[in-house]
Amino acid sequence: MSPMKLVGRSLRRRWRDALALALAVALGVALAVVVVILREDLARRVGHGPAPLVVGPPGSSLQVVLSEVLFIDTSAGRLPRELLAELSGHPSTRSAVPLARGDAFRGYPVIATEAELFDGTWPAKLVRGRAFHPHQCEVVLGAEVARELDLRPRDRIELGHGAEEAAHADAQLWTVVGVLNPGGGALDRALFIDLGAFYEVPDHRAVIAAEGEGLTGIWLVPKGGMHRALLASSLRGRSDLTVAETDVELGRISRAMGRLDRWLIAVAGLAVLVALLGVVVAQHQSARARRRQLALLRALGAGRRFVYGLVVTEAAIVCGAGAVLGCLGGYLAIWALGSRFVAQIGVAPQLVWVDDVASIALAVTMIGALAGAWAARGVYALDVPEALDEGGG
Amino acid sequence: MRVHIEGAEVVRGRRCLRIASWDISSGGRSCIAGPSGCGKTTALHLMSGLLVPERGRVAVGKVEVSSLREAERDAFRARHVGYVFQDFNLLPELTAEENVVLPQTLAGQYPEAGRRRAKELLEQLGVSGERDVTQLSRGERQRVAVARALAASPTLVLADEPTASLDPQRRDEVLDLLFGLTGTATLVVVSHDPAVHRRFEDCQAAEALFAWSEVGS
Repeated sequence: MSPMKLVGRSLRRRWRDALALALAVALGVALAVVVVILREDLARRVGHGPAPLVVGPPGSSLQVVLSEVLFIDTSAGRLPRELLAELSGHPSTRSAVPLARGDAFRGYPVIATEAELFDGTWPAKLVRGRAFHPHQCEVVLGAEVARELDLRPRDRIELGHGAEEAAHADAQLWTVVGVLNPGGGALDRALFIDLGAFYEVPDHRAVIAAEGEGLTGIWLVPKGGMHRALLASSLRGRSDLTVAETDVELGRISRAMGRLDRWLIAVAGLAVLVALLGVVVAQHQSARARRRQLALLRALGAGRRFVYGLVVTEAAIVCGAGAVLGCLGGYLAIWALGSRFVAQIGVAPQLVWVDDVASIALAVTMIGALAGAWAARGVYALDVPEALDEGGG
Repeated sequence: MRVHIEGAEVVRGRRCLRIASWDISSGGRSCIAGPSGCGKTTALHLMSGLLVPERGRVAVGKVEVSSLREAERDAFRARHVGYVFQDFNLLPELTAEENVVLPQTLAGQYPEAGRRRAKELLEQLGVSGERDVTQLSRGERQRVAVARALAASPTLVLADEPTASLDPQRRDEVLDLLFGLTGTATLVVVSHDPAVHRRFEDCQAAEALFAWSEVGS
């Protein structure tokens, strides 16, 4: 008859109360876990800018960064392809790569670009295979795409045409030729194909015939020193394009997220707090209701600490179970809501392990035990003869 | 174990119980007779160390219980005292066998030996150890309570109105068990039931042993 067995039996006898309490804790923890995962996911997406400057169609610089850097929004329009040559030839430009977005593959954006993207100037580093060849139906995968879709070089895939919501399969099959090193940014979650091959897709030809070969964005790496400011200021006044300083826009997004983040964390914290208050009340009630039983244990020779430990362990177990359930529930909620996220923002949060989740579970368990300890302090001061005299059988 | 109480005073509420002198010989069978509220249970609590007298001394064997610290009294109770309560006081979340094993665990005995002893006792008393105590009859519950009190082989067995809720036949059964199974242990029974008093050679009236006074008077 170990103390843990006593605790287990006691919980089993009060299983409805214990379950209700664990579920209340789980609800609070699940909410906190969802917030933490979303926060981590957004931070991962926002945190890595591939180029100091990015040029997009006329509109807001924030939209340009969202669509051409983070790949989480559709492009506001098109840029003429000739602009690439113009910007490449700018005296302050060191490198420039074109981007044409629009296609998608199982929720991941397909970016038409040039093989220069993999020449070492940009954060896109090949870890397996090679870059695509010009005008070939070849594709390089971001690390996450390869991992999540279990694709590797020589695999053949059918790329959808148009935005995710309206995607339909093109007749052509594309061969995977390379996989990028994981960098933690948006590049991990995209597929890259040759711009020339992109224009030659039969469905694209009709659009090109009507509108000309267009781009959705251009990434620019300026030369050192003052060149970044010079390049940005020379482009800022133009009405045919929008130039965005990636780190400035990402900073704005982060700050906006930070405010939202604080609210979400406050809400989640409140939910956990309410659940823990429930633990205090329930343990207090339980300790009062079980005064005679606890007194009996004392009468049989159990020390104060032993009896107190039983009550506190019960609280810790209930809170621990609630915390674990909450963690699972949080991940389950993210998984279940994945398709909604795709519909709303074009990407689904990744179900990656976040260290903060373990911290939340541990903290809730410990705070729950402390709450139980506080609630059960009456056990410590229990007048055993008096409690034994109380009615019962 | 010999039980000796000398000049013990204990305050309960606004009243003070005084036991001038009381001696129970080692291995003796003693009964205290008296109505409810006369101090019988309080006397048992003093012997078991659940209560500590404000004055005087309580000794069980060579141990002066009244001068032990609380943790020492807990350990003393676990190792040396078996308690039978009026209302059984079994833990409802445990089976009959687990209820019997519990004091042995608290006394630090090996779990396997504890289970063996519990099985033996319950077999002797004709109660199935696997049963949930809430499903047992009153007589069966009291037998489990007796088994629990004797499981850790205590040297002092205290029984507080052990037959109060039992019919005459069950009452005699429980007393037979207590007499039969306590062996060399000292047995102290408190009861208001004359039928129980008649079973003891040493049966004293509570009024002769205890004196109550108002606190401050």
